[in-house]
Amino acid sequence: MICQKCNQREAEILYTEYVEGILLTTNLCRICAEEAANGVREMPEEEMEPADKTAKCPKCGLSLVEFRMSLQLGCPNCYDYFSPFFKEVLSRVVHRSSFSGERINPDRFLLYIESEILKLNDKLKELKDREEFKEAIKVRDKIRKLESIKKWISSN
Amino acid sequence: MDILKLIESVPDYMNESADNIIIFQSIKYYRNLEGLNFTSKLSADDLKEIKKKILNNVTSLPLWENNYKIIESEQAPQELLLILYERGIAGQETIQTRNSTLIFGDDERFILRIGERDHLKFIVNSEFNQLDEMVQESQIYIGILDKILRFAYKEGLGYLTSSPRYLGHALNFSAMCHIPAIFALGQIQAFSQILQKYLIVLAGIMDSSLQTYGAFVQLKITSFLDTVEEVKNKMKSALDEIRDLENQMRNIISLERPIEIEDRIYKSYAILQNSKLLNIAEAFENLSNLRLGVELGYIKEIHPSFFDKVFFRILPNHIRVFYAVQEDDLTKEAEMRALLVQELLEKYYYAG
Repeated sequence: MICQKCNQREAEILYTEYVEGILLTTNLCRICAEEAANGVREMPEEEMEPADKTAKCPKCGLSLVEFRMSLQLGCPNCYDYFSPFFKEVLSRVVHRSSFSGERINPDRFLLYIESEILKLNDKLKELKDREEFKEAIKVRDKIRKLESIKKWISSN
Repeated sequence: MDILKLIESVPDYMNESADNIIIFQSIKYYRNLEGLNFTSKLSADDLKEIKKKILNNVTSLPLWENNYKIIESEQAPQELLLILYERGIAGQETIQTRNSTLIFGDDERFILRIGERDHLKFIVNSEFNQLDEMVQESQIYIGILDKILRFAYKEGLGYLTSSPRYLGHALNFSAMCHIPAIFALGQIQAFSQILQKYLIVLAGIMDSSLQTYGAFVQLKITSFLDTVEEVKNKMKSALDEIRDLENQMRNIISLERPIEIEDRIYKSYAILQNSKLLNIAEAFENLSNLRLGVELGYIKEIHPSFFDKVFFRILPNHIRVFYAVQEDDLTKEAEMRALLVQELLEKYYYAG
């Protein structure tokens, strides 16, 4: 979004002010926001609350009031915009404010898939020897499925 | 789609030999496509595009081996959606908004819901004795989907979902449990302590309802900034503790109150065999006692798979649709339920 004052730079700050009891919000770039605030600097990000209950996420338009009522966010950008609010709530509920895991990558399961296929092949042989064909078909299908997953991962 | 056939079928994950206490379990992953608004802030056209993109990519995956059904909730008959809801295939949102698309295989193990609050909900159902396999397999599939579709993700927060409570690996674990001895001996406090310790919530039989019947309860745990492994371990520990407690209570019942429990079991058996009307609460309560009787060895002539067969079939919409009962005719519904239970009891009677 372009700064609503200079109409040149990218807007990064939702600038909010009360003018004669009316709340005005404007999307401004850093430079215009500093000028408008007349030297008042922005708060550190960790302490920053969404400017006002009526302030809205610049991307999807969700307000804090809407969020508090529905407990649903409107877009991934809301996580930046409402971050101080819900991080505080999360840390109160689960005593933790960040996630230490990583994206789930199917590649790391290749070894698991290979060992499963080996195990199932042994099981299939046993079942065939015992003439338990109904169960053997299920195991055979599972092996086929794992092989197609393995093939898919390897080729992607 | 043949609704009657669906009603009569038993999902593959209902397996009588798996566990006496944990009937089945599910893992649900919530995901959104990168760079796009969540469903509530999407235009109808954008949602259509997302559905198209997901459908184009997921149907070729080794997930269902070309054996899947696609249900567009907008065009689907209401009765079908209600049946799918009772089986956990459709969510409450599907019924309310009729905006989502459902994909699932005949075995009902893998389910995809597209266009609910989050763009995609991936559900994997399994027997309890396959917990580790289910978790591994589900991660492989959701990882593959991430590679193809690229989900919204942020370092330090995990997968971004419409509700912040799913942050982390953005999932929810649930287990359907049968704990009659805990209920019978009033051990609710000990049971609640286990739930509190692991931040587990209690739910009813159906996906999002709170109504519990008999001693059947669904336990749910959400990721809350946790990884899959962390959630799995919490759930596993909680279920182990609940199973220990239930087994202890079953021992106490058998050793210290055999007459009381035998009386309860045989009364329930008689009600199920002879009643002319069975409402849903009565049906589940008596089935719960009967199941306990079979598991404790008091009743030997009922094949355990009877309980898997009857579980979904006695739910209100399953009865109404199968027997063409009017929605407000509760007496007819109760009559059909009683008949069905008796028919199945006869069918699953065996010499032991």
